[in-house]
Amino acid sequence: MAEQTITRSLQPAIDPPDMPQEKEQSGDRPGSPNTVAIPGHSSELLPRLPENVKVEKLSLDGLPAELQIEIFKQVQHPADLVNVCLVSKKLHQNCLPALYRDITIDITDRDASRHTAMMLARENDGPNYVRALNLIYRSVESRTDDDKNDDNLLYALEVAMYVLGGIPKDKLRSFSWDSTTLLSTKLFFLLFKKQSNLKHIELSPVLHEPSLRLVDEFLKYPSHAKAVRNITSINIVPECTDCLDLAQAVLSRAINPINRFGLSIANIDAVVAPAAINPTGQVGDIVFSSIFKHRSNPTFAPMMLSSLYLEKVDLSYCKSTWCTAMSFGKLKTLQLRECIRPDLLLDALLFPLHGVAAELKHFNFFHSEALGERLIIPAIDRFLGSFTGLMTLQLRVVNDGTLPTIATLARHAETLETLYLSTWIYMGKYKSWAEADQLARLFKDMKNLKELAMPFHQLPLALDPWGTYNFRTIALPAIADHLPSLVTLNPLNWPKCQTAALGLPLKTYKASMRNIATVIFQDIQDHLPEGTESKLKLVVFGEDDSFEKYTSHLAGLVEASRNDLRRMMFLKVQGKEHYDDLDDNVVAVKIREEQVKRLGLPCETLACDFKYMMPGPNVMD
Amino acid sequence: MAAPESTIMLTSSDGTDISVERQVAERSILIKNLLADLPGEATTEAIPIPNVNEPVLRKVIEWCDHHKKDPPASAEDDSDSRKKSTDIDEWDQKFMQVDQEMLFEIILAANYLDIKALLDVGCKTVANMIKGKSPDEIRKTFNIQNDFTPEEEDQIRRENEWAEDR
Repeated sequence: MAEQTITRSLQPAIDPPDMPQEKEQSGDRPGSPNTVAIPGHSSELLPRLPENVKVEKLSLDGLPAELQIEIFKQVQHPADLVNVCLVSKKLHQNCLPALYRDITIDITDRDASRHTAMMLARENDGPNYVRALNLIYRSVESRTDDDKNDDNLLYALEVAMYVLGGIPKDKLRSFSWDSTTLLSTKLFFLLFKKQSNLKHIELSPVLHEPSLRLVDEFLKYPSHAKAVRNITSINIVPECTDCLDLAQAVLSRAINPINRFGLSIANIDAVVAPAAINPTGQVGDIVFSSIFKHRSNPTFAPMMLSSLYLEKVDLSYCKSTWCTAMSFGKLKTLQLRECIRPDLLLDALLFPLHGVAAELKHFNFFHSEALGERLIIPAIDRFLGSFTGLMTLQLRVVNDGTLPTIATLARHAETLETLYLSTWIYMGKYKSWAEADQLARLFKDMKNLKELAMPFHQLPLALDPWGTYNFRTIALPAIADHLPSLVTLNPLNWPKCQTAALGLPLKTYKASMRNIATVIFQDIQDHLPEGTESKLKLVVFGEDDSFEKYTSHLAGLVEASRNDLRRMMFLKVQGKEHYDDLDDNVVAVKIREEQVKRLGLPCETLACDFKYMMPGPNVMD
Repeated sequence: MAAPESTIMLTSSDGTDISVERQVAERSILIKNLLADLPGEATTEAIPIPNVNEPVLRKVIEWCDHHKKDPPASAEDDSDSRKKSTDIDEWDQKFMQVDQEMLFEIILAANYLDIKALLDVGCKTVANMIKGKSPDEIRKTFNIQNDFTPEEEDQIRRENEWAEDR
């Protein structure tokens, strides 16, 4: 504790009238360093209460700086933090660490140069606190004018250079380039030149002359190796063998063990052959053997991973390749996206070479190339059945033809907070559980579940109480009975609208969805005992907009509008329904994704596109 | 190791002795480390907590008692996920429904006694009071004087324009 004396605000805080206005207090505040508790001598050492001293009431303004900083770090939205900065000089100073420690700048924006120039103004102390810098550049594909696009990119790269150049030396712990456009060599090496305290590094594709080998350029200057020696987290997005060699050069220079490893080979050259067994019986996997060329080195130890992300990686022979370089005993997060034979990795995790993944908390899995051969889900079943305690399970499996076993999911029921189950079969039909007792068994004990995204059997456009299957009498009671903590409910399938003859305009369809959301809010509330407030706040229809949409069961919708259908979100509010005279009915109102975030509602499933997730703030401290 | 039901005595800054289960008191890392350093018989004497007065200390003990069964927080946990939850569990929300002075006293005490989870709950509670408010509303809520000139205010606004709409 640095603060010796703590100033109190001049005005007493506003209290409820029934609170005692004067409290007996000691003048010493917790945190003053001159008071150390020594038991055994209590009575003598107790500080004497100051007599007749009126102590001003403690307020936000009176807290020591480091506690104000802690508080502001819990305020997540940058716009809220800017407002805190504008309150007073003291709060401004103590808010800067929270506002600047993890910044995202969209450099596509034409205003970006003005914004960044102001940000990097000498008067602003903020850039001293930057730990993570994330630059976004959106190349717009619909733009037909290529020259203009190039102009924009050049301009954006200038801004990027300016920002990176303006952040004080050695401050950054993490830098990321969030774009489908290639990073420039200049920018890439400027990062290494200026920042030697990096903890997380992204090896994104870099635009360069074919004659220039990145790895040679990297090895040319000792400062480059120095820049990466402290990394403990890496995400590699290689395009060619040169990129793989660069990754190897970086990895082999890290002096601390790597605990977060990400690799996406979605963009790699076709030249890089898939893993195979060569005639001598040895596994040839160029990607693996290039990145871990140094594994024959006697000092090489398997990475003790807390997080692993693999995209499009060939895992056919993972047991003799990837698994030899990784230890899973401390693994908390596992993300597999569109890998080849991911089932083999999951099986290898049951009998690992180094450490069982028994501490896993977050499992995200996306696979869409199954051919109905039922390899994937059974492997997931075996894997999930081997341990307990998952908090996040997000599964998107297309065309495997089966569903995870309820008994397996039940092993994680008590700890699960986020569940995303998208089990797709062809033509946009989702496989799901249809019976009330199945849903009841699935949801049993999921008392901590906050977010649920799954398809519901035959979700109809009108929630009438008739019909053979009834969402309203089967699914909703199961949800109300078993999921007391649920805040976000996301039926992944669109409400059915099948009869082609309907010719329903999109607007009407959306209005119907709003009605369904209202019914869901009301039913869940009505199902609970009197006096219990339902926690459900958000109802969402549809999956992430980047996923391919099958609209075969939307034939009743006007054809042109089917593709304009975007994921719809509805927030629960108390309001006045215009068509009846009841006051304060529950109604659903349409809400945008940014607003959901701003409201602080749990929205992990909404953000779920199974892409690489940046490390959390702990990496930066 | 003392028996789980053993109790210890804490003395608040205003001289009140409060008896508390050892397991409960050990939610405080400060007290836990202190007890670990002491020979067994010394624990029968009251431990002075000179920085925390009785009402606040009782409140803190109430929290520790409710959370005595919580698993100890490990430093590595959640280091991976970018998501940070702002939600506070229901009991804690009710617990934190106190006047502002008490709220900040709890935060100070949690920091002094080194009770990370309680400090987090306190900070989140204040953060929730800030969310969605304009600078002026924040000033009103926390009774803070604006000491900026309009020019300074304008300067800060412009410096931080990059953060808007994000």
